[in-house]
Amino acid sequence: MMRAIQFVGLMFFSTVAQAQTSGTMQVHLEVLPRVLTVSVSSSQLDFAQQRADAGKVVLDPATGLVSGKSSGRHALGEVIVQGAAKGGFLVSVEQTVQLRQHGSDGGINYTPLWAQREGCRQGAFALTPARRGTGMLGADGCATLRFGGTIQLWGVPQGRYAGQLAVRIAPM
Amino acid sequence: MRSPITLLLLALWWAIPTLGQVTVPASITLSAPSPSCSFSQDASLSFGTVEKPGTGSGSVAINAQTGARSSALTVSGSATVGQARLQGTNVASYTVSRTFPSTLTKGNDELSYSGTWAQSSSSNSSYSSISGSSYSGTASGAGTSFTRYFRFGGTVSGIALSDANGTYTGTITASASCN
Repeated sequence: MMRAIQFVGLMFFSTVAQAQTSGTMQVHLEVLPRVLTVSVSSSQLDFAQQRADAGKVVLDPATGLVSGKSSGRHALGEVIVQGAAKGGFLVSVEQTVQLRQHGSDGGINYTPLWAQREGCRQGAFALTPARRGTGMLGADGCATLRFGGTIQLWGVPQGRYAGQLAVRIAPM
Repeated sequence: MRSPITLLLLALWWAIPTLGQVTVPASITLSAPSPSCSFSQDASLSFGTVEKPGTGSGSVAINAQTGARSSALTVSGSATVGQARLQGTNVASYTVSRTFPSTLTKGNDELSYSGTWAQSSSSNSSYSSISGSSYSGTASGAGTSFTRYFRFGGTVSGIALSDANGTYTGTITASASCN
């Protein structure tokens, strides 16, 4: 038997075979301030002009108000503390500071008061009625400390009195 | 997309018996295997946590080949090199392209970012740095599967005290074409 194979037709279909895929990946970096960064935003704690016999004068660091009658512009000292969000810190201020008149031995006793606010942008200040206290940074990793205080004026000589208040801030 | 190669063959088998003829039609369909590939992420790229400098500016980097983090700034937290794998079957060749963001952002705040990447046939060693925005390679073709690993690193620079605190993010995009 003789057998033959005969091709009737041959069709070849070809296209370029290709697959596509893609993906995404997130990149993260957490940026924090130094462990504690302390900056003085207002160094001019000022009781303004008081009468020499005004008695007890209170500059409230929580409200910014000054008691009694005064003239001129009073001001609070202000310190910004930055660190890890919700991190705690210790604040220590001097018990009493002598404000002295230039060229004179006379002085005025100044008793500091301080208030704090968690965060640096908004919120009320809370008075901390202690020489030493703790503070807490807000969610923005920032806290604001304001300093006022009390002076006693009983027949003190006229003049300008000044001094320096040391504030110690340490991470908890 | 499947794109089979179809070979349609019509043959006529002609038998010549002693007495007369018989015609038998036959058809054969041949399909070449289609290539397929997909990306999967093994780890996102994280630089961890860095403390802002008191003065000047600083940077933090992750080496794409080794995964090591380096910085003159104080860093903490875990840092991970970004890692992804390209897996495919029936692939003869492939090309991977990536797009790096130029910045990491936090709201309206930005930090400069310069990305780097590397590739290897092993998940945890022998990574080679890739220059440019695309990489082409070959695989073993039909009937086989392959896996290629990619790592992503880079440098975040210009970190200064004035930068806002918080988490800065960006997105790396990679795409592959497999043939």
